[in-house]
Amino acid sequence: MRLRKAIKQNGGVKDFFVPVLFGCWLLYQFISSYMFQKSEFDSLGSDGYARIVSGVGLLLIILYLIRKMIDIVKTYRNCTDEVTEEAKIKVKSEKTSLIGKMREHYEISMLFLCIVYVILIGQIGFMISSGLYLLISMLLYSQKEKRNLKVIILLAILFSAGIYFIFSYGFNIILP
Amino acid sequence: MLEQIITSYVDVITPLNILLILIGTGFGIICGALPGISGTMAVVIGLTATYGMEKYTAFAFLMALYIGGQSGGLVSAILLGIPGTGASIATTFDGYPMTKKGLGGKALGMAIVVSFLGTVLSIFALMFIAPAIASIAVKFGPVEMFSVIFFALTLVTLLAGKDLLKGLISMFIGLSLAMIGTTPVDGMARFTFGFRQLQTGLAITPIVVGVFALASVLKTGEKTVSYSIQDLNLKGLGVSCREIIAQVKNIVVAGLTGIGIGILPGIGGTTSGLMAYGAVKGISKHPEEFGQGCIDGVVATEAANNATIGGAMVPLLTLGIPGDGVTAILLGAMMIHGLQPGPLLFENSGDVVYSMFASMTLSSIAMLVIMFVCLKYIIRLLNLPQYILMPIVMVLCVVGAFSNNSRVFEIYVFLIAGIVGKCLELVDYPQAPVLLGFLLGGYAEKYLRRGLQMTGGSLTEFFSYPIAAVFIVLSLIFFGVNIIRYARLKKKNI
Repeated sequence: MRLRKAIKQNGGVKDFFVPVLFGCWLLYQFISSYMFQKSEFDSLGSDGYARIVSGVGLLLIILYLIRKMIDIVKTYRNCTDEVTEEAKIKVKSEKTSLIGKMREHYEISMLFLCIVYVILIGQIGFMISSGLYLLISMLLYSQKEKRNLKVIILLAILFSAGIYFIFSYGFNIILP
Repeated sequence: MLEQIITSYVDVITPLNILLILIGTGFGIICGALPGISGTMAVVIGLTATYGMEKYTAFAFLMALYIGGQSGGLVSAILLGIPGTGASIATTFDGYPMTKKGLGGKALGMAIVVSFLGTVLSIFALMFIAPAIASIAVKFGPVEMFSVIFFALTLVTLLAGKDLLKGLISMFIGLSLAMIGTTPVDGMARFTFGFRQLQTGLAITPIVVGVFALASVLKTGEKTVSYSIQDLNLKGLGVSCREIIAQVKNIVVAGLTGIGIGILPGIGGTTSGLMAYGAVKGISKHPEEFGQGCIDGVVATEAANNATIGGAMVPLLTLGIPGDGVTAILLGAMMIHGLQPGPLLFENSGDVVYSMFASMTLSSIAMLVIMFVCLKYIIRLLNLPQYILMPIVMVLCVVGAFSNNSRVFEIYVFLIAGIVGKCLELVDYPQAPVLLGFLLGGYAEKYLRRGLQMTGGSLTEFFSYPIAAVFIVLSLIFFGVNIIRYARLKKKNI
């Protein structure tokens, strides 16, 4: 409980996400650099430069993680196990805040929609995938009372077709 | 020379040229405002239309597209928080927060005016001191170029926000992404995972658009955004003469930065905007206000990225070396129309060169007029429902990412960059240093390795080059001073 509190007060678990993820990427680059051929043209080489950049980046990440751990330990020592009334109420409201949870899921569902849209462009083409994306996202974002279905459908079809024809025939950029 | 300048202005002011300048500037602004499309594309599209035109008319049209495109990026940067061009990245740092505070009109008005002033400043520099500047620029070899880029990278201390360590990590993430692709000097494939599409490296447009646009689309999607409508009752440009005069120092500093960076081949408006932002923040009495909606930040970027236009023309006209992507296309245009860029251009085709200067001045004025007339209508975009605007922005960004190289792969890069940008935002990692590192990483490696070739592998030999020594020492002092400043601020907060 104390540890969880200490971690939360110092940014939470998500604060470890970026350093760990990019730390792995930089570690991969650092190790891979030893497999590159030495350059015949300069003393540093592609391998040396990659080693320097990934090495310094890793060092910074390690420094950051050490700093984070020190801050968590300091907070942990000053923390108590006692759960305050405020914390009790807060815990209760977190459990019952459905609207907050729905917002989080909304962002994820929007991101999922964008991912599906991008994948579909390569499969079924720009026009159809953009039309579908515009239609679904406008329906998802809009409030039921303010929604005008005819306008949304018309906008989705005309915009995706319009952009396709302008770029393909106007600018000679053939969209998928 | 003065007589030649006056004659060129008289020659350029014909009904056809004025019409083409207005059309070119307007089209350039639209292309610049659409995220991912950019002014470069406007010039590429316009180039094909100039084949049948007379020289003076052709360059009048191309200059108008260039200036319109460079200026148009401020529109989406300020209103949507999405840079229309790479040169407007830093405009989003303060322009968009100003819009959220209901000051979008003031931000737009000031950005338009300083864009005009930045362009005019660079045109004067181009006209009167181009040959002298070019003779200094030609002395910049790989060692000097590396020292300038090293100095630019130390600007991360000003872009890092509250946590310098996070800023440095972000910059090294950018530097590590720049290592993907074919290596400079020895042409080896590195970190491509066997993907043929990665051999040319990651393109800048999908990364910039992804990091800013996708994060913005998702951010707006999660809550209803409403803006104050006070900006709809704007009078004039939304900014007073007194406010403009108060920014003279920032305009000069940013303008000179833009001209200086523009002259150095290959670096371009994106870097000059970020550098000028850092420079103006560094000399500001209230640096803590930057990033919260400070007008000085908008002034810095927009003055610098437009001043880069004149700067980039200097090596093109005097040495035949393009200063940025657009001037590379203009180099092609000059050859198509029978001009030979280089030291003899002013002697052999001085009339065409001076007509370009005249066209640039007229295009700047056209940009001011078009933006002035359309400002109120541009702001009304804010009143479009976000559930309509954001999906449309997303589709345009996808088109912009694709148009970069006409490959679906670039759309995937855009998406991944967007997800990475969103993750960085969620955990308070600054995005600007990532872009700074990514933009400059390739050049840093290229010039460092070429410099080491020249010095026989000795890094200390770099200090024997006077220009390089000055920049490296300045960088170290600058970096050291800012680390001490951060440490003091952190101690104060504890």
